[in-house]
Amino acid sequence: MNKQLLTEKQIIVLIILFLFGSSVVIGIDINSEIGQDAWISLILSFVFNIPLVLIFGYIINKFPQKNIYQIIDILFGKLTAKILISLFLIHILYLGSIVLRNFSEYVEITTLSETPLLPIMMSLILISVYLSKSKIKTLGIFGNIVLAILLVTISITLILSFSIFKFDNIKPILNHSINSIFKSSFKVFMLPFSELIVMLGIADLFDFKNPSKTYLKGIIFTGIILDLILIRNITVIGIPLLKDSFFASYQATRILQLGEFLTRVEGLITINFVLAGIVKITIFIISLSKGVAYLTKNKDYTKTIFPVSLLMLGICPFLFDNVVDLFDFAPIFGIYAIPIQVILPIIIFLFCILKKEKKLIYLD
Amino acid sequence: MRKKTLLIITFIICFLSTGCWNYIGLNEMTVVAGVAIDKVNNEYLLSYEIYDLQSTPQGYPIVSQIVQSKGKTIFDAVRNAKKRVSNKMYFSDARIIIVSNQIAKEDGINSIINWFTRDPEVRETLQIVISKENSALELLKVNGLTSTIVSNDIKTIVEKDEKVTSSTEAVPIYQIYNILSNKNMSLTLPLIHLVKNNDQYVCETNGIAVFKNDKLIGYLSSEESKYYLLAKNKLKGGIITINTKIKTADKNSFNISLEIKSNSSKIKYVSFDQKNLKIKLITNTEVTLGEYKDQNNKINDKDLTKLEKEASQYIKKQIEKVIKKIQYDFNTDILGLKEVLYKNNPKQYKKLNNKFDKLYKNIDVEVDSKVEIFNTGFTR
Repeated sequence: MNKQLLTEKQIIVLIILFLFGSSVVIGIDINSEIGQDAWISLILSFVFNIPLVLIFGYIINKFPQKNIYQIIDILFGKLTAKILISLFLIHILYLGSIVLRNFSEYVEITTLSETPLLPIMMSLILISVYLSKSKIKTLGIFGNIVLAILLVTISITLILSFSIFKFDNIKPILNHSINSIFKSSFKVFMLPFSELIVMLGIADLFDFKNPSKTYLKGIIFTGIILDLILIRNITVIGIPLLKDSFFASYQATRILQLGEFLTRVEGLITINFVLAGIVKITIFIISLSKGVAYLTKNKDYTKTIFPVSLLMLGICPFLFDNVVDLFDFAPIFGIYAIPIQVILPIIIFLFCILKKEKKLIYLD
Repeated sequence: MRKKTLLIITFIICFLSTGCWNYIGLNEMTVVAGVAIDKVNNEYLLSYEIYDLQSTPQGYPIVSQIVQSKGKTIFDAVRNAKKRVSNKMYFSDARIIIVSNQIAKEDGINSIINWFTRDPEVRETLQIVISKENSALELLKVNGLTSTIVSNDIKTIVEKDEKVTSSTEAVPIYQIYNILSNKNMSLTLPLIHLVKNNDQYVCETNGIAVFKNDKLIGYLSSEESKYYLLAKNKLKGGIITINTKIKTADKNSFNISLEIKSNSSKIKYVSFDQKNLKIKLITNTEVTLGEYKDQNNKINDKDLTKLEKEASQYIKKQIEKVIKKIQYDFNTDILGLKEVLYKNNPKQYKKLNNKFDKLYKNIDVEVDSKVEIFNTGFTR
């Protein structure tokens, strides 16, 4: 094998980190309406996510070591493929910029309030560019290390929060109408979870036998941990502050302390978010540059990495006026995302089934 | 050649464009220990107790100084302090905010809470106390008994109070925010006043300041606060002194003290018909006998059961008294009856939600107290 590929374990890790990266966002828009029932809707949105993930798994299984661009090309023919790929690329370019903006906004508000946004974005994206320019194995190993750090810090915060846990905050359970819970879980499903389609862009680097199972493992693991975090936030800081705060996890950990000895644990959370964010942005950049390289018939995708990330950086400042705008827009964006993030994989899936007999699949 | 120039350029860029915009050295900041907020002529007067690092000799405890500033809003006043101090105020280590009772009565404390929760520098575990004196500044001016920084003193007094004396309840600022945003709950804050101690004035907790919405409407004394906390299941320690008649031949009564070891209280919704809402309050207190005066007659098992009965009746009476006071004098739901209803009986809550404020005064709270003496200390 001359190609470097990601192993099954590394892919699970990347899926987890990819979804984790957005926990900054879901910390808020999930809680805005349904308060203490947010953890139920989070579970629901994971359940929604399972069929979608199975579809991804099916597609990858049908086209081993092909990414979404090649798959679209094989299934739809040249012209349609080009249109579809361009739409897909525009979408994930936009999405990637939102993610980048989100992270730099987080750093700006919580820690570096006098630093302008641009240097923060630049330093974030430079690391991502470096990561994506190195071989893909680097990302896999980096992911392993980041996940280890993440799990350790999360367990520290969970243990510390036991002393100030107020389980009363979670009552009354299921007080909101089922309708609103579904609505909220749909929003969460749309924004961070169905973003997983971006991972299809680097699917040609995957090396494993049972993609559906891998995806499921990643999803379930993330689901459990995110739900634990959400319950921690609810029980520690209470509903009203949770609804109003932009970065609930950060605020929850600010309260934690171990006597007078161990305080200011929130630094750990910042490390979590930034590291997971770097992994997420890196996946966006690789996926994007592969798409652009495919459109421009360039064989080496590493050459398009830099232009693509510059483009991403350029879009960032013009996306939102301020942080309130950012968080208000997040749920609306979920609706815009439906065609690319849900309908496109379903169409690909249907085409796969329809064209089964013709054996188009094993063309190179 | 090309590589070398590139390398040099990268190094130059690294040195010029890195570094932290937010870098502040310890010598460049004025660390605030506590803030007292008063209002003078429609302007906020903020007094900060700052750690005075310059005039502290080596080997001595750090002394503090007071800096004052005025402004139309809190933040305005905070920034105006820069006119007097060479360095920027650093709030991340602030321990306490003292609010004068005039502001709490007239303006409400919403405007104060807002800046302190919004600013990322201020920590969520900050305590807010109400000054019972004429101004909040007076509390900062006195010397602490155990440390040279009076803000630290007040904070530890308030925080450790619930485990030892239970005369007041510490509420960190994030919980204040939650309570003020929650329509089902009402706020209470610790109350501090000055007392003379060895010819010198010192700070002392003096019960609880009771709020309706965000405005101060009254006080509970230290003794009343204890039974209020007992009812609210916030009590973790303290002494109950009761007047007992057992075992004395001349039937003179005397005082004994019971030390509270643990307590659990539950508020239960019972029934609602037409106009009467019935709520049951069950308290279960475990105590040890801490002080028993009668040397000649040693206490025996039977006396203990009698004492238990007397104590539980006493507690029941006191709680009923405090609840009446809260219902009639203050008419504010600091016990959180509505919140309890919402949490445990959401269906009933939906029915009663709109009527609750009208019903509140006439809610029938049935108190059921139980005291268990499980220990008499070293001696019989």
